[in-house]
Amino acid sequence: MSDPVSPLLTGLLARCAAKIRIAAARHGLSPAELDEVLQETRVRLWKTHGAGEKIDSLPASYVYQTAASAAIDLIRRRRRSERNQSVDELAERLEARDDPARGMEQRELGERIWRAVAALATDRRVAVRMYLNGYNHSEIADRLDWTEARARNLLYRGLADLRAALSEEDTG
Amino acid sequence: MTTGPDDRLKAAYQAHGAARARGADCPEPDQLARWAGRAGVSEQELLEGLDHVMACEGCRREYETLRALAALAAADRPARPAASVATRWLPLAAAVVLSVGAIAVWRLTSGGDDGPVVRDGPEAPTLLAVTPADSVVPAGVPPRFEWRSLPTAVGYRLEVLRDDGSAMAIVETTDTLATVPDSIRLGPGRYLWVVVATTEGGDVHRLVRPLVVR
Repeated sequence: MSDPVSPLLTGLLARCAAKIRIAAARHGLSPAELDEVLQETRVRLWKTHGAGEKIDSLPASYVYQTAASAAIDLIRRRRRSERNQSVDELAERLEARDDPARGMEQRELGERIWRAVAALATDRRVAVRMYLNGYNHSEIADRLDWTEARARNLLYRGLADLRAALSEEDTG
Repeated sequence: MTTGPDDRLKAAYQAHGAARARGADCPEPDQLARWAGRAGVSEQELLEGLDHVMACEGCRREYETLRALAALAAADRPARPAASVATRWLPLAAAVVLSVGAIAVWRLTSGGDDGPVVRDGPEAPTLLAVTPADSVVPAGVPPRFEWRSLPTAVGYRLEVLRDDGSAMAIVETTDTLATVPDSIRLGPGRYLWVVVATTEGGDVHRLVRPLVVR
C-alpha cells in the first residue's frame, strides 16, 4: 500500500531543511549529526501527525521547533558517548586541543585572563566572556535580551575592569 | 588582514577555554534550550546560565545550535497582535483571551474531541492521560501529571512545553506519574504536556494534552 504521508513530509522537510542545515552547521553539528536531526525530525512529525492530519499545512515554525527538540536529544546522546570515552581518549583529545606551539607565555596569559574575568561583576563578566568568544555588541544584546546600548556599556566597563586587573598584576 | 586591539586577549582566552574539559556542572540540554528560547527566563537566571555557557566551549556550541533553531521557529511564527496587546495592558482580559484561544487551539488540534489526544496512529491507542483531568490547574500549585501505563513501555518522558513550543521541563521516568521540579514555576498561561513512551522494541508513542495554568 502506498504511504500518502511520506511525500507530504518530504515536501515539508524540504522547505525547512536548508535553513535548519545552515543554522545547525554554523554552530558545530557535523553533517552526520545534521542528517540525524533531520531524520529524527521526520520521524517525530510522522509519529505526531501521520494519522491523517494535514502535514503539508503545518507551519515551518513547528518543524523548526521539532528539529530543536530532536537536537536536544542528539546532544544528550553525544554527551553520553563523550562520557563513555576512556580516560586515554579524553586526554588525547585535550592534548590535541592544546597546541604545543602555544608558548608558556600565552598559556599564562590565558590563565590570568580567566582569573581576572572570573572576578568581574556578573553582568559585566558575561558580556566580557561573550566578547572574548568573538561576539559583537549586537550579538551580546540579542543573547541576553538587552538593548545594544546596555550591552555596549556593560562590555565597555567590564573590559576596563579586566584591563585594570591585568595591569595591576603586571605592576604588582 | 587587520587585527583588532583585543585579538591577543581573545586568542589567549579562547585557547585556555578550549583546553577545559566538560564538567559535572554542565547544564542539561533542555536547560540550554530554555536559555536559548529565553521565554519565561529571568535575567538573573539567564546571566548565571550564560556565565557557564560562555566559559564552556562544549555548552556554548550546543547552546548556539539550539538558539539558532529557536530563532528560526520564532522568526517563522505568525504574530498575534491582539493577544500580545491584551497580555501587556490588560491582564484580566488576557486571561479570558488566552482561555478562549486555548479552547480554539485544542479544537484545531484535537478535532473538537474533548477526550485524550493520542497522535501516534491507530497502533498506539493505549497511552491515555489521567490527570490533570480538566487540563486547567491553579497557579502556584505544581501540577501532577499522570497517565495510564502502556504495557510495553520501558520508560516515559514527560515534556512540559510553553505555548510557543519551547521546552519548560523534561522529566524522564519509568513511573506513570511525574511532577515538574520545584525550581520550575509554571506561571499563568497555556502549555502543552507531552508524554513520550518508549517500548522494548524501540517504538515511540506520544500523548499530547493541553494545560492551562490560571
